[in-house]
Amino acid sequence: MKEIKNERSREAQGRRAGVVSQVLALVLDAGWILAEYVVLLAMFSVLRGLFTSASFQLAKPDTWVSVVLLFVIGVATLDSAWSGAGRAPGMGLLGLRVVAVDGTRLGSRRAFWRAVLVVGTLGLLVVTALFSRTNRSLYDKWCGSSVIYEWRPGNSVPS
Amino acid sequence: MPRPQPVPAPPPGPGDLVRRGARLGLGALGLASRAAGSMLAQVPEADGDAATPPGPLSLLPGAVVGLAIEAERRASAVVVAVSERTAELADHVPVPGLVHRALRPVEDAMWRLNEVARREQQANQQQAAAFIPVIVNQVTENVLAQLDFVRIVEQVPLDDIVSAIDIEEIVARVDLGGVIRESTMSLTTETVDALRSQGIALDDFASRLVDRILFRGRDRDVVIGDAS
Repeated sequence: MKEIKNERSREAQGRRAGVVSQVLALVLDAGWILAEYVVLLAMFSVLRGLFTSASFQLAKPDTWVSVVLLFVIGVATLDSAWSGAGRAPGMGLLGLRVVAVDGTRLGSRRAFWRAVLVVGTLGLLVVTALFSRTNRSLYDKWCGSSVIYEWRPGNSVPS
Repeated sequence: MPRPQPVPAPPPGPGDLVRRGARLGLGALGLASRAAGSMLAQVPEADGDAATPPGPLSLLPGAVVGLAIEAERRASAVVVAVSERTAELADHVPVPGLVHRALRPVEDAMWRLNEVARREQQANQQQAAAFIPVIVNQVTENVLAQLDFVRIVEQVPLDDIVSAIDIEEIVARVDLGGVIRESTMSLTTETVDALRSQGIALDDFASRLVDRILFRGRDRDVVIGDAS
């Protein structure tokens, strides 16, 4: 495993991440969820074109269907990511990981409710981490979680 | 005042010297004759005749060496006996106090000279140690200056060597895909790490700014497991 060269970054491993990294990670994860939504629509369109007489055009569902789809995809993606490896693709790129408040792996129930809250509020409440003395947003306080720097998997806290 | 230390141990006595020198010389002679005999034995006979069994004449070299060893033993015994008798005689001769007093300045002078020798020897050894690399470099430079490198290189069969090298075999042994993969991964990791480092710097900056605006004196508690 490649060593982290920057000394300050090396020392930051395993500590709670700041708000800028968390916001950037959420933006990237939102992009990932949107990509999943588009891929799902494309697959639906292909199947619809194969089995019906409709033309091969990207499906344009109603707004409420899109909202529900995005919500379901977002919760499923974030829940599975946080209860498993502890990181969704955006968090993985920025070297962040969601853990329980004591540093252990986040349980599936907490991960689920954290995903519901994050997707339901569009992740806007992550900004509250900026005013917290412990860099914990309201999501973390409600779900007993923390977001930490972990550039190399398994290099900072026990899972 | 500490007494000066004598120079290193004296050389062996005359008896020892004769005995060791003779033994070494005879030993070297024996080894050389044995090596010569072994080499000559490996050379095949021109007429192809079978080797003849050793006769009495072949015992002559061994007999000569045995005679020399016996002579060395006798000579060293005579040398040892003479030196021991001389020492005993010197011990039994009475030395009057006057002679002791007369010899005292000589002994003092010898101790002084011994101290001078000890100091000078250290300096001499240091100079010799510094001089050896100079000699080695000088000799090496002179040897290299005498070599005709162009002629030497011309005599090397480069074409034969190059034609004997199987380039495809070498390339097949090198894991080019692995090298490319490793270098690409390393470059990607460094780029991502640089991006993450910028993120950490921005996190610290934002946290410090907000803490200053809110008049917070203490640093943030970001160590995992300590959250209240």
